Amino acid sequence: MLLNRGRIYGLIGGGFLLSSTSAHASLWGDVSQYIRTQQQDLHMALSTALQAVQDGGFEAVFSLLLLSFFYGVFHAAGPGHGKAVIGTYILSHNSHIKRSILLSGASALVQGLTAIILVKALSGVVFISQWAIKDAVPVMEQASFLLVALIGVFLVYRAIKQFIGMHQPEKIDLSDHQGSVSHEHSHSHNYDHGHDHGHGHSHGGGETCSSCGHNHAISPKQAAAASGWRETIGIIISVGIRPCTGSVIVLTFAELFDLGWAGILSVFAISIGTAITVSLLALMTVYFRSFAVYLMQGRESMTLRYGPVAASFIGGLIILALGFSLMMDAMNNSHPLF
Amino acid sequence: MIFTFFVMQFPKASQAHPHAWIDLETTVIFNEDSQVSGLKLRWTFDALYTGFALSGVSRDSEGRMDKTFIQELAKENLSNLEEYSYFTSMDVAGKRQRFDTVTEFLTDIDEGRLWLDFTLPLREPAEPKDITYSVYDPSYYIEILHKDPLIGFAGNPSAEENCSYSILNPEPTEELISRMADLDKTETAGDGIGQFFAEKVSVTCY
Repeated sequence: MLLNRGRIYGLIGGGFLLSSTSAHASLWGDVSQYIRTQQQDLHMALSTALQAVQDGGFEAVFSLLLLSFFYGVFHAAGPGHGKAVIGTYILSHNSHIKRSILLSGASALVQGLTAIILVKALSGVVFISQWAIKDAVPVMEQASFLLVALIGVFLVYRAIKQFIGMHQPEKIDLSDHQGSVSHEHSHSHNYDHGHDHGHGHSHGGGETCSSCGHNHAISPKQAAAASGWRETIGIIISVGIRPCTGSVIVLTFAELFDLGWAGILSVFAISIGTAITVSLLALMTVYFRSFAVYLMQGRESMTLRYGPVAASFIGGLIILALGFSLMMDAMNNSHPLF
Repeated sequence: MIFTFFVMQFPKASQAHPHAWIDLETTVIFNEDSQVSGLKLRWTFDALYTGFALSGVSRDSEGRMDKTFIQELAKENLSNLEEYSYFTSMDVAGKRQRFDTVTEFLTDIDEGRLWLDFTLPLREPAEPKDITYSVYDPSYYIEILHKDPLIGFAGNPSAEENCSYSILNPEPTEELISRMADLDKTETAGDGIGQFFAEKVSVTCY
């Protein structure tokens, strides 16, 4: 199990990221150039497709959806759509494949939903002009960045708590047990979020201590899972309330031509495309992380012991900084034409 | 490695890639003294932005749009743009020029696309030697490119005869990469990522 499929993907993922820095910079430059031009072409094609739907026909709707889907795929390859937050979170906090994909996919879909609700709600109210929609988007972005910063604070706080917890032997429930068991417990608390033990680390009794299970109210694994879900939902919401501007533009355009429903379908297609791209990147990150962890094997126990909690701490700090700097940025910069 | 991952995200989150396009036409304006006195810019917005900008416009019983709406829109946009130097930067012999407030403009909608035509007066007229200018959105939220590789000249036919120009296309890949590598260099005043995707026009007259 030393070099399984996951590790190979991790290697590829790492290689991909590495190649984007080194002397092969032009390769990445060309890729991003390609992505940009594709997105541009798709953007222009979208407006034509939307207008084509006016004339009706199943084909027109179908092309619109296909186009929207690809627009979403390429659109998400550029900066934004919460990739930094999601990526940091995955890298610094061990996350399962399923949850990572859920995280990225759900965030993208919620973004689309937010755009739809925003435009529909505001255009439904009499005489709210586009100024309202224009003004609402920055406000929601601010809220999103604030939430991201708060999640960062929470993650840092939790990492600190974990660190402190590592140095305090369990007192209450372990009065019945040997000293070696408490040692295992403080050790297993490092690995949060349903850590997969296929990594080859040796643990004593695994996540739930076999010799003392029923004495604990919640096993560490359950506690980890519960808080993991809280963060996941937190991130989904904080990224999701940032409406995808491309979607907002498509929707307002559709409203103009009384094609509200076509706009909505289009946005769903865009969101699915976005979800796929972000999920793909999330997946790469997960594999990359497991590869990095694999590489860490055999190091001194200090790294093993403090590595994860340090990673959580740093990750939380980065997310906090991200949210905060985005907030500052957004406050100082509003676009003159939007 | 991880660092690069984040670098890729940092260009201003969701703002940094184009969500709208402007087709550009520029005309260099000369005065009687054969100096360059300003630029005339024609911006044609894409259909999606047009829809976005016009959403909420009131229409009369026949569905016709209230024309004063786009006049007001143009005024508001131009007034917002002033602080950004109307997205235009011009250097004469390497020296950055200043513009006065735009007062002359025209706007309308053709074939579903909103356009804005305005005259950008130079604060001080310049000798038409070694002039370069760029029209771009520093945040790169909007991509502004010449519709056709043509620059117009107006105002003084005899002066215009001796002028030549060239339009340099942006080459973002090299610069963007080196910019990413230079993360600790602070950005120049007001210029963000957009400058790397901007066309540069050079004009020289003899």
